[in-house]
Amino acid sequence: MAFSSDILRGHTETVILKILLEKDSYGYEITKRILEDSEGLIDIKDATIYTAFRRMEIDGLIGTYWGDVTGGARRRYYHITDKGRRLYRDKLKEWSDIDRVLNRLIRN
Amino acid sequence: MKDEFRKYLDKKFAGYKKSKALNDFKEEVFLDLCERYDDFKKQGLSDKESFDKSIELMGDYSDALKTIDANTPKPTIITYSKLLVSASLLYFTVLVIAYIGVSFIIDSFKSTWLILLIGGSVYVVFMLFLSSKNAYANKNNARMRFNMSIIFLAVTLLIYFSVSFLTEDWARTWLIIVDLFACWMTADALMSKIKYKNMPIPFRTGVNVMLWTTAIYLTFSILASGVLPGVWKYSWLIVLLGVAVNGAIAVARYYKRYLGETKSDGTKGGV
Repeated sequence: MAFSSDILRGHTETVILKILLEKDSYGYEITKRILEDSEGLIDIKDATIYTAFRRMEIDGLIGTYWGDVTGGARRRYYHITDKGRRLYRDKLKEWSDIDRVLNRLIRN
Repeated sequence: MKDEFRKYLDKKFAGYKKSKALNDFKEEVFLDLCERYDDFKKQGLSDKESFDKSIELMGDYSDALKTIDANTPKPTIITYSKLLVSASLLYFTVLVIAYIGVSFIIDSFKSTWLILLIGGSVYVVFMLFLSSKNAYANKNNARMRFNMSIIFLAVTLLIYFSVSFLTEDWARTWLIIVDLFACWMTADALMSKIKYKNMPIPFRTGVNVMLWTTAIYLTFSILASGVLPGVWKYSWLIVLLGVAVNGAIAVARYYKRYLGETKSDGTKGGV
């Protein structure tokens, strides 16, 4: 059973930041990574990723650079900035609280 | 298949203003589509299935495009272009009817082609004015200004040769080039002045004044030489007068500006 991509609503940026913490990446690679890490349950649309990219770029959380020409076109890569790292740490703490509270609300 | 993706993206993003940012974005999406397509193919899907599924997983890019510089939706531009094309067609239809009608009425086609020439020139100048309004609204207008210069040069030469052939007076018609060039410089400077209020323009104004003065000097001298044989002896005074007036205006303007600035900040005394 696949989840709706709505399940990531509000956390897309954190997920992207987490992936970019490991290595610089690009749109489709991140989409694939989310699909793999969610065991195929979350198939996020490319547009969702790019909307988040643009917002994060404006907020200074990520930066971009152009890679070599691949398949007749240049690949644009995204990398995390210091501000992005700080936000990721904050979001991680926030998620721990959410996880604890939701567990209590739903399980108990 | 790559061409198919490119065509699809061109169509999908056709409603947005063209820009480098939009092109870059299209390149990103294009590569993602190609990679996803290859992945589907590796999974054993057919060409069509792979294509369709890749497109399906793109999603709605409208939000992403809103944050791109070139995200201005095009409908108004399209409407404007349609209006422009319709108005142009109507204009030239009326012009041709006028040309044919007048020619038949006076029973001569010898000189009536001038209606088309003048009408066409008016149209080009009007279009030039319209595009200049857009061009000067954009700071990166070098390319547009260059294009306009080329159009202007073409129109100038067209008028020059047409009038020369018609009047067979090659000795004086070169003045058309000088005069129209002066017009062009002035229009260019005025538009720049309107949009770039902080742009230093003394040099540009100086060139303009020199051009206009020279144009008036030459035009007047050559035209008047028929009735006033000694006109060249005195007409150079026009140039002197033009330069003097320009100098006086420039001094007055900067004097006024200097006084205005010093009075407003109160640190320096005026007169």
